[in-house]
This record gives sequence, structure tokens and C-alpha cells, in this order.
Amino acid sequence: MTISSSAINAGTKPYCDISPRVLCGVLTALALVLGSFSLVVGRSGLTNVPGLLQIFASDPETAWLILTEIRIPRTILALTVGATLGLSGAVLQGLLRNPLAEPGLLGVSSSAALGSVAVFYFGISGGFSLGVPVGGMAGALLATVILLLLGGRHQEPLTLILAGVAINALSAALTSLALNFAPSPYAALEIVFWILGSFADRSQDHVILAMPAMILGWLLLLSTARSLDALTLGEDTTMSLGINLTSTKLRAIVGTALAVGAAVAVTGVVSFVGLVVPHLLRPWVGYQPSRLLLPSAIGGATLMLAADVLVRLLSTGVELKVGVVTALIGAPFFLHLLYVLRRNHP
Amino acid sequence: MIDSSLAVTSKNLRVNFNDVSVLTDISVQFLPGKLIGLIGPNGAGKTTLLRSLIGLVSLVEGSVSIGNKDVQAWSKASLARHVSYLAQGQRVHWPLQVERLIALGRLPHLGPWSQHGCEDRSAISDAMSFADVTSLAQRTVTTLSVGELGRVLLARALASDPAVLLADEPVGSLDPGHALQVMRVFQDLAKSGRTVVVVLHDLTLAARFCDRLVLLKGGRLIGDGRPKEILTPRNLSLAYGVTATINEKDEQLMVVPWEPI
Repeated sequence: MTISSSAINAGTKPYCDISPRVLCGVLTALALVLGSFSLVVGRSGLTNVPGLLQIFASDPETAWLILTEIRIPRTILALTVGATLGLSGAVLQGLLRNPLAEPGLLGVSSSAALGSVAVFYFGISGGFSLGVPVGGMAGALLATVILLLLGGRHQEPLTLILAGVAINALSAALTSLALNFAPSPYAALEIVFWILGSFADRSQDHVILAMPAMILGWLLLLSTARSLDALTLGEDTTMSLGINLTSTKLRAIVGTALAVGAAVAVTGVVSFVGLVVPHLLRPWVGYQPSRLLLPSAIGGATLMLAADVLVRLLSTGVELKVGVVTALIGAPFFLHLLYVLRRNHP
Repeated sequence: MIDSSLAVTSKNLRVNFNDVSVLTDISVQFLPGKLIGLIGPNGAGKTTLLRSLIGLVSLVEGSVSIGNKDVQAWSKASLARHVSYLAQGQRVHWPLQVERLIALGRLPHLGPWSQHGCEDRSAISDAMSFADVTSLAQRTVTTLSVGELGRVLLARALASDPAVLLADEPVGSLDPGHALQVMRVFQDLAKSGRTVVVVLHDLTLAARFCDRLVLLKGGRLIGDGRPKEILTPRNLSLAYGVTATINEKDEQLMVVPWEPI
């Protein structure tokens, strides 16, 4: 928390402030285009488009199956997971008043990953296809309970961040332990591949399992909008504006845990989307936390879908994992962003 | 409906931080219509007293009431519509536009999903002209000088059109011209029947503009009365440990602290 938000964001430039409605509209249009694209791009790239059309002509039933069982769930998951990461990133950055906050900060994603890894490790995944996501959600829930118990009644930002660091470290250690004692190299590979994050081979069942928790999480996160605005003025003033800060923090933490936990449970860990998206969109909404939430959700969905389409286009043979791509593109991009900001505002 | 005048009363207030007493046996009543200055050295408990008055501090003993109701009995939203608190040395965490920052003062008046209406907009523009920041409306808060930011934050506090205004060192960072102007704003607010309590370190400003001064020292109330009764050489040496040159101009006091004792 040493880097103050204004140090990074200090804007001397005039506002390129556009209405959140216009911003959301543009991003939604982009998501729709990518979405329709996503329905026709297969695992082995664009070359399959004629193939798909051919299947549609000759065997509509199979084509329909491909669409409803593979492509649509994959597209929906990419959109909803992206929205979750964008939205929770925006809320956490607002809550902690720190532009470096991101959904993984609280340790919820790593513990969700650990829960899934445990399912792999104990071999439950073989007998029960939804074992992995259920394990992930259990892991996220456990981390949330620990977080709430540690944070106590007031949930000081610093305590939250430190608790998140501890939970992250513990989850990473236990995940490594599982890898260490993996029964076979194949099992270890399965775990590693899963942690990398991907939307491949997810079914409608995954969507149905994750959606309720994600939607509930979104509602809780969105309900903090006004309080996040008030927090711009510090905690005392926020409370003097009649806002129940304890409830705000609870809604942000539980909302993040539900949505991100469910997202990680079905896709593995996807990094950088929750950090970069709010950061990119913030200047466009005049830096106001409440106006950032919806654009961040839609922007996250769009970016995630774009990454997933890119993964499918680039893959030959072994499919690239989307989590690898987001970090690979996101990290240098973020460095570039910091460089530009520093140059503009030394 | 907003009550336009509310008295703020504390009875036998006692506040501890980590078992150290910060306020001891404070019984004081702040009435509408008069500008009240809260003075005392650093660490006297002025900020804690203001925070206690709006229920931000848990009391060991005693009670605070606003109007006829205990502060804890007020709903948070209703209390926020009636009482505005301007915190000391505030930092703004995001580089918002000035007008949007001031609009945050209207939060207590907004329904859960409603947008600013006519009433909100006129309150915001009134607050901006009161605090003389209308010309800054389109600026970014991070580009303001300390004094400009101070006035913008004052406008934020005024935007809710409160019956009670508690301001913690609002003129500390202002130049003499704006300090006088802001004190006049407080005076006008008090004259319009509001309850206004202002923490001040400039004793001449306090003597000149306040109708009544409340003097704290070491968490205790050591003086409460008209400026001429409070700003005596004895009180100044007792509270601040200074000797001061006290003169009169136009029947008003000029207090210039001179030597530490």
C-alpha cells in the first residue's frame, strides 16, 4: 500500500471522459462480434469454419451438438469469467483505494485452485465429473471464512491484504505439496495444466454450476458502487455520509469470493484481466469508482473472450492455455502502461 | 423532512483509546444560530470530540444527542442528511473532477438507484458558490493547490445542506483572504440557524468570527464562553503554554501568540 493511487493515476491531462453508457455500448458491441466469432472458431483455428458449415449441411444434429455442448458453454464461460474478474478487480481497487489490487489479492483464487487440485490429487475427479469445480468452490469458501475471521469486524485494508498474502502462500505451498507427491507424472501434468486456466472442454454443467454463485457475487459487488465513491474521501468521511462501511467491506469480500471462487473453480487461474481492465478503463469514466464497475465487467468479458478466441486461432496441436496468454500479453502491457504513466507524470 | 435547526449536546462524555483517556467528562451544548469555535492545543481531543458527536467513536461513558434523540438512535442515512463532517487534512484518493467530488456530498440524499435531480444540482451549485470554487468545477482535484482543495472539500460538506456542520481545521491551509472569506461563510451558515462548530488554531479569527469559544486541554473542557472571556492571558498560558499580545480593534480581540513559556 505504499504506492498511492494518485502517484500512479495523477491526471494532469484533461478528462477523456465519456458516458459510461456509451462505453458499455461500445464494449458490448465488441463482445457480440467476438461472441459470434467464438461460436465458429474451433479448437484447431479458423480452418474448421468450412468444416463446420459442411457438418451443418450434412449432419445438422452433430453440428447442433458441437454448438450447444462445446462452443456455447465455452463462450458463455469466457464472457462470465471475464466479467467476474473485471468487476471484482474494479471493486477491490475502489475498496482498497489502490490501483494495484486485483481479484487474486485476497487469496480466493489460489485457494479455489487448491481445492480443485485436492480433488485431482485424491482422484475424486475420475468418478465425479464436477468434482473439480465443486472442490474449487469449497476451497474459495474456506479462504473467505479465514479472511473474515482474520479481518474481524472492521476489515482494515492492510489486514485484508496481509491475510490474502498468507492465504496465497499457504495455497501455493499446498499445491506444490500435491505436485510433489503426485502419484504419477501424468497426474502432475493434469494438475499443472488445470491450474494454467482454460475454457476448453467445459460443458453446460460447468456453466450451470458456476452461474448462480457468479451472479450472486456480481450483485453483491455492484451494490458497493456508491460506497466506493464515498471512500474516495477516506473512511471517516464515508461513515459520516451515512454509509455502513462494515457492510460494504463484507459485500465486497463475499461477492469477490463467490464470483471469483466459482470462476476459478471452473476455469483455473486466469491472471491480469482483473488488474488491467479497470486500470485501462478508469480514465474513460473520470476515475469515479462507481462509474467504473459496469464498463469493467463488460470490458473484462470482452478481453477474456478475445484471449480465448486468440488461443484457439494460435493453437496448433497442443492448445495454448488462456491463462498463459493473458499473463503473457498482460504483464508486458502493464509494464508499458506504467512506463507511459511515469513519462507523462514524472 | 430536514429539521433546519438542531442542537448538539454531549453529557459526561468519556472516550478512551487503548485505555488512555482522550476525553474526560465533557458536557457541552452546541446551539443553532451561533458560530462556535473549538480551540485548544494539538492533542487536546478536538478531533475526537467532533468524531464522538457523530457517533464515529465508541464512548466509555456519557451520551451524545442531536436534537432530542441520542446519536445512536438516528438512522445512519438520516443523521448524514442532517449533520455534515469536514475531516481534517483530507486526502482525495482518486483524481476526480471537482464537480463530481462535491456531488459526493449529496450521497445521503440519494435513493439506492436514483440519479441527481434538480434539487441536488442546485444544492451543489450553491455549495460551490458559497465556498468560491465555481471556477474550479471542471478541474481535476489532484491539480489543485492545498488551499483550493480545502475549499472544494468544504463545498463537499456544504452540498448536503446540513443543519449541523462540524468542521475540523477548515482554514488551516488557506491564505488570509480565503480564510476570512471561509470564516464569513461559516458565520452566514450560523446566522441562518444552523449549528456550526469549527476547530480553529488562529485565535484572532476565532475571536473575531465566533460567538462562543470552547477551550479543550488534555481531553478536558477548561473554558466555554464568549471570546473575551476565554482568550485571557491566564487561559492562553494554561492551554497553549504561551504568552500573547492581546489588543482590541473595533471592539474585537486581536490575539498574537508571542513567546512560549
